[in-house]
Amino acid sequence: MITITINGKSIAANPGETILQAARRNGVEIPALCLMMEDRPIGSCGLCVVKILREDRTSYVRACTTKVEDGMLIETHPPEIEEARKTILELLAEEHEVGGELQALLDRYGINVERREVIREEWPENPFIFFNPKACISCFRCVQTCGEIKENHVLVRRGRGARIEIVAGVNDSLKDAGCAFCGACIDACPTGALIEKTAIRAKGPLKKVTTICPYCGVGCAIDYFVQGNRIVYARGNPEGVNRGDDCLKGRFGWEFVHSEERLKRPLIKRDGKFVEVSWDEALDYVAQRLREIREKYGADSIAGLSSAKCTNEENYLFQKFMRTVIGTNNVDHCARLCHASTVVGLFKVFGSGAMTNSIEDLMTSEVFFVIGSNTTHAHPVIGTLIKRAVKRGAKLIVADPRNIELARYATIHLRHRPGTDVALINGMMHVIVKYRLADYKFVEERTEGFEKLKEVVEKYTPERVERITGVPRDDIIRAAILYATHRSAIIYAMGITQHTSGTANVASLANLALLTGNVGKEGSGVNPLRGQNNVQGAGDMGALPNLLPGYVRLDAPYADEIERIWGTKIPREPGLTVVEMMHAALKGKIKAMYIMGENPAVSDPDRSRVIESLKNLEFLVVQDLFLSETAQLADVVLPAASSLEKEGTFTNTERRVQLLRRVIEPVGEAKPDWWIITQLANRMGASWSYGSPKDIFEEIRKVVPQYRGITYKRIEKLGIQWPCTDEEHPGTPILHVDRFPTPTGLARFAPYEYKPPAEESDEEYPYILTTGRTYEHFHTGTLTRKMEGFNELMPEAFVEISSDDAEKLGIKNGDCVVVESRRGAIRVKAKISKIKKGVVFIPFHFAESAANTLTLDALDPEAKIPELKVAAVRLKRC
Amino acid sequence: MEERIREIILKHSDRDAKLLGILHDIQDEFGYIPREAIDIVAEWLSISPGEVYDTASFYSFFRFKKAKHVIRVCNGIVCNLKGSEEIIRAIKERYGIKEGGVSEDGLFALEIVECIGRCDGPPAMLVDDDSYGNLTPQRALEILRGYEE
Repeated sequence: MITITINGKSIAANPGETILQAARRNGVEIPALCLMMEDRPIGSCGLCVVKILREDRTSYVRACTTKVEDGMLIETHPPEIEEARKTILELLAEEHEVGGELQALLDRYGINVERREVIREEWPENPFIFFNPKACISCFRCVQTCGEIKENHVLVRRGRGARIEIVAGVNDSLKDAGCAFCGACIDACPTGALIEKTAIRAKGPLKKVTTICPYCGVGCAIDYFVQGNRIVYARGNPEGVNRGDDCLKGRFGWEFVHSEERLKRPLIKRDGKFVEVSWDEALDYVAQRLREIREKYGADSIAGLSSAKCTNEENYLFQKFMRTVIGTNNVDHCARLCHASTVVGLFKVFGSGAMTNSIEDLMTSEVFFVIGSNTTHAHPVIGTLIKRAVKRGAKLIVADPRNIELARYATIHLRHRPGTDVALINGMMHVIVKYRLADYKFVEERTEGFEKLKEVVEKYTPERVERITGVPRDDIIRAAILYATHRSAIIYAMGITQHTSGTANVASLANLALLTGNVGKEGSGVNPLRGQNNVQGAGDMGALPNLLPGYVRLDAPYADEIERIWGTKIPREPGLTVVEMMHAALKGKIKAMYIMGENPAVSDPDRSRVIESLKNLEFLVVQDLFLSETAQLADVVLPAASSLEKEGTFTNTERRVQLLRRVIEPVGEAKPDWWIITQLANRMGASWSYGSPKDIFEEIRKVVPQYRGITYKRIEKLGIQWPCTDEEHPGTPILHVDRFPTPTGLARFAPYEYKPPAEESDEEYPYILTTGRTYEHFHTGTLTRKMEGFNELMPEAFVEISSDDAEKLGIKNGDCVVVESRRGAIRVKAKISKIKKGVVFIPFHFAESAANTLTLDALDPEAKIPELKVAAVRLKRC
Repeated sequence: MEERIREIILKHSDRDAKLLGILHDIQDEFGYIPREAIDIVAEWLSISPGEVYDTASFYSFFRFKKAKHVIRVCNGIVCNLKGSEEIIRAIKERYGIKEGGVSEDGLFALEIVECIGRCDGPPAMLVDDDSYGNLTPQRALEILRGYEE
C-alpha cells in the first residue's frame, strides 16, 4: 500500500491503480465520459484531468490513465480545472445533440442547451439500433465495449484525429459487419447517440420489470421497460446469471408479445373453419371430448405434450393432469428431441442427468472442449463468455463439421464426420491412456469400471479414428493431450445428443471427464447446454413418460409417497415418447392429443409423417400463443399467455430455479397455461384449488426433493441451483464434488463402441445433412418469425455447402437448390461456406422449407431421441 | 487473389505485430487494399475485418479504392501559402476527380495530405512514390500527363 493525498485527505492506495480508481473507491467523484473499463482507459474526453502538486512544479494529468505514486498530492476540483471542464462540456453541447450521462453532467455544471429537434440519421442500415452521429462525442466506449468486452469487434474507428468516425466493419451495414445486436453499445453510450429504435419516441416515465428471457436455457435476467401494457425496450440485468450481457433475442426478441397474430380468444373448428368461442364453451368441449375418448378407447389412447417453454408449475400440473386426471403416462415434451440422451447418458455414468457446473465457474476453465454446440449462435451469452476466456488465455478445442464462429477462436478445430463422435472421443481416451495422462488417483478413488473402458478404447488408435472420423491423427493426439493436462470443461449440445448413438455420445464424454478427473471441480465438468428456457425444469417436473417429478422411476418406492401427496393412484406402466406417440397416432392407437406450447409439425423428424399422424387423430387440442403449424391441425385451440405475461419459475441450464415476474397483462383473453390446465382438470372430476403459481410451487417442494429448500422468497433476487434440500441449503453450483449420487457413491465408466449412424451417405444420396439453429431465429420460428427485424436479418432457409461440393454440382452462392432425402424434398438457397466437404447444413426454423421433411426418425435405443443430425441427401440446382 | 494474399501473410507469420507489414505488402502488390484482401487477412489473423480496417484507416497512405496512380498533393502550411490550392483545383478540373475520389477511367486517385517533407520546394506533390516540388498548375498537369500511359 502507498499513501496519496486527494483534496487534502490522506488515502491508502494500491500500487498499480489509477488516480481515478483510487478516488472513486474513496467516494471522490471525478467526471469522465469515455471511461468504460477502469483497467483499460480510453482517455479521449479529457474531463477527468486532475492537478498534481509537486515541490518544483504542478502538472495536469488524466486521472483515468495516470497511475498513483507514493506521496502524490492530488486536487480533483480546483477552480481552473472546473472552468476547463465547463468549457469542454460547453463545446460538446454546442456541437452535439445531447442525452444520457452527458446531459446529467451539463445539468451538474449548470449549462443550458437549447433543445433542437434533430432528424436522426439511420446508421448503419439495420432493424434495431439508431445512431445519431450528431450526438456522438467520439469517446469510443461503444468501440471498446463491442471489441474488448463483447469480443465482437464490429464497431470500429475509421480515420483519425478530428475526422475520426465510428463505422461498422469495413463501413458495412451492421448485419454485413457481423453485428450480434447484443445492444451493449447502447448501454455504453454516454450521450444517447446510440439507442433502441423502439425507445426513441418513448415519452414519460417507464416502469422497469425484471424477468427471465423467453428464449434459450442460459436463463438471462432481462429488464423490460414498460409503458401502459406495452414493452418499450429491454436490457440485460447486471445482477442476473448473464451479468448484464445480452443477445439479439433477449434484447430485441420481445416484440412477438405485441404481434397482431397473437391468439386472443379460444377457437373451435367447425366445418373445417375456426370459430371464436368463450372460454367456458371451449373448456367444456375439450373436457367432454377427452372424457368420451377415454371411455371409448381407454386412458392410454390419449397422449400429451408438455412444454419446455412453460413454467415449472405448468409442467408439473400438466404431467399431474395426464397421470391422475386422464390416467396415463403418455406425457413427454421436446426434451425428447434435444437432451433425452443427456439425461440417460449422464445418469448412467454420474447418477444425475444435468449440467455438472455453473455458467459463472466456466470463467475459470483453462481448456474448453466444445463439441456439437454452436455456442455463439444457440447460447450466445455463454458463447461470449468462452470468447472472452480465450482472449484471456484459455485454450479452446472445437469439434464440429461446420466452420462455426468459435472455430475462429479455437486452438484445435476437429472437423469430424457427423455421427462419428464416439470414435473421436474413444480415440482421445486411447491417447490419454496410452500416454498415461489419466488422473489415476481420481479414477481409483471415485470411479468403477476403468478396466472395461481400457479394453474398449484400446482399439481406437488415432490411425483408425482418423479413418472413421476424417480428423487427422495428429489433431486427435493434440486435442487429447490439451484436454487431459488442464482444468477442462466439456460443453455440448444437440450435435452430441440428436443421434441414434446419442446416449453413447454423452456417456463417452462423461467417461472422458472421469478419466482425467475433470468432474466435481470448478472450471471443469460435463456441461450440456439446454436449448429452451425451461427444458431443465420440464424434465425436473416429470413431464416424461417413464419418470415422475424429481426423476423418480415409476417403480421406485418414492412413487408411493408421491401417490400419497397427490391422494390418488399413478399408473405404473411407462408411457410413450414423442416420436412413439406420433407412430401410435398414425396406427390409430392414440386417438387424442393435448399439446401445450409445442410445434411438432415443424420440429419433429420426418415431418410429412408427423402431419399425417396428427391428422389421423380423432381429437387434437393445442394450447399456444399463435396459430402454429400444429395448431392449424387442431380441433380446439386455446390461447395461452406468454412467459412475459405470467408468474412462475424457470430452471435454467445450470439447474438454477429462477423467478418470473409479470411484465405486461396477457393480451386479449389469453390465459396462463396453469390456469387452463386447472380449469380442464376440474371439469374432468378433479378438485384442484391452486390460486397462483406459488401454490403449485409449494406442492412441488413437497414432491421434488431437489427443490425442497427453494422458496419464491429466497429466489427473488437470484435463483438457486438444485439440489437444495432445505431452506438453509445454499444450493449446489457444482455437482459431484465429494460423491456421485449412485448407490456406491462412485461414478461408473460406461464405454461404448462406435456404431455408424442409421443412415450413411451412398451413391444415390451422397451428402450428409446436419441441422441446427441460426443466431437470428429460435426453434420453429413461432416467436422470432413474427418479428419484422428478425426476418429482415434472416428471411429464409439456406443450405450450407462446401465450395468444393458446390463447384462439383455447378451451384453458385444464392442459387436455388433442391435437397432431397428418402423422405422428401425441399427447395432452399445455397450458401457456400467452409463446412466439411460432403456435409451440408440446413437450419430447421422454416416451415416452408422445413429441414425436418428430410430427417429420419430412427431412434436412439436407450433415450428414444431421433437422429436429427445425420441424414443422407442429394442436391441439385432447381 | 487469395493465393497471393496467403503468401504475403505467411511471409510475416513469425512476427508479432505483423498486420501493418502485411498491409504494406498488399498495397505494394495491388496498388491499394482491396476489400477482399481485408477479409482474407482478417480470417488468417483471427481478427475481424473491422479491426483490420480500424488499423489501416488510421494511416492516410493506405488506400481502399482501386486506381492506377495516386496523386497526393501536399496542403501543409508551407505548400498552402505557396499555392497548393491552385494545383488541387487544376487537377480536379483536368481529371474530374473529387478529393478522395478516383477518376472515371480509374487512372488517378486524388488525395490531399498534410506535409510530405518537401518544404524545400513548395508546393509539392507525390505521384505514387515519386515526389515533385516547385509546382505550378501547368507543371503539375504536365507531370501527370507522363503517367497517362
